Amino acid sequence: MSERAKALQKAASGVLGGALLFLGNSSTAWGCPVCNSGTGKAVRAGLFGQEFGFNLFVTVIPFVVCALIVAGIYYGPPGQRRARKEE
Amino acid sequence: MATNHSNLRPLIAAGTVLGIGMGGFVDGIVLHQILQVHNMLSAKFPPNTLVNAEINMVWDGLFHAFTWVTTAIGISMLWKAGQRREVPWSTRTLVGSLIQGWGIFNLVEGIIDHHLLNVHHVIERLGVSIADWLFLGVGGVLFILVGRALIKTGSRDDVGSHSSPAAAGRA
Repeated sequence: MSERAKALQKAASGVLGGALLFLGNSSTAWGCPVCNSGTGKAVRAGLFGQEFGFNLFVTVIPFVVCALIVAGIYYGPPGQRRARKEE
Repeated sequence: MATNHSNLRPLIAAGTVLGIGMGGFVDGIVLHQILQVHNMLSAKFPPNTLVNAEINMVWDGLFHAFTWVTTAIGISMLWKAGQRREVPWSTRTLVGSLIQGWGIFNLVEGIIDHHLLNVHHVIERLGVSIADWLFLGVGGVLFILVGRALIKTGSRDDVGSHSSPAAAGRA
């Protein structure tokens, strides 16, 4: 390996090491919902607050309504369903 | 012309469910992630802080999980429809159903989330805007009408003589 390549490798590992050191010590960078940091705790508090059930409901409800519409398309109106069964 | 004993409903239902799932992915990937004009709960948690952005990210993830499940159910329904000999294997019917499903998703999601519950809007910083009405009118009603027109055209396809590869394989 040439001297130039060695210098580049050293510089790259220095930058990577510095970045990891910075992120590791930064509480805002580790703000994931399962992270044990101030930001992580705030995210969990926001997620599992009093409105968790309502927020889950608003996320799910469009899919439930869509499923009911598809059931209507598949089975048809009740009158048509009865007529098909009698055939 | 499809035979008298043909049954388009399983193909239409499968295509519609797939369209709902794929429409959900378009919304989530394009509007939530790439353009970032809104998130699942961006009217409640404006994503202008890291904490609020991460809260929205989790709800966006759950939204994507439901769209994934919907798409998986659609694939399963399509597979089952393909194994039924009485189901005509019409491309126009399937494409029309996909567009219809996408329109149903936009209409239902738009009415519930954008207008009734106000948990987010198409362009969040504008609140309820023309973009929300275009989402309903074009992305919802127009897509459903185009999908239904294609389904109607597909019902006239001469597909009685050849059904899906899966059904043909079982003949």
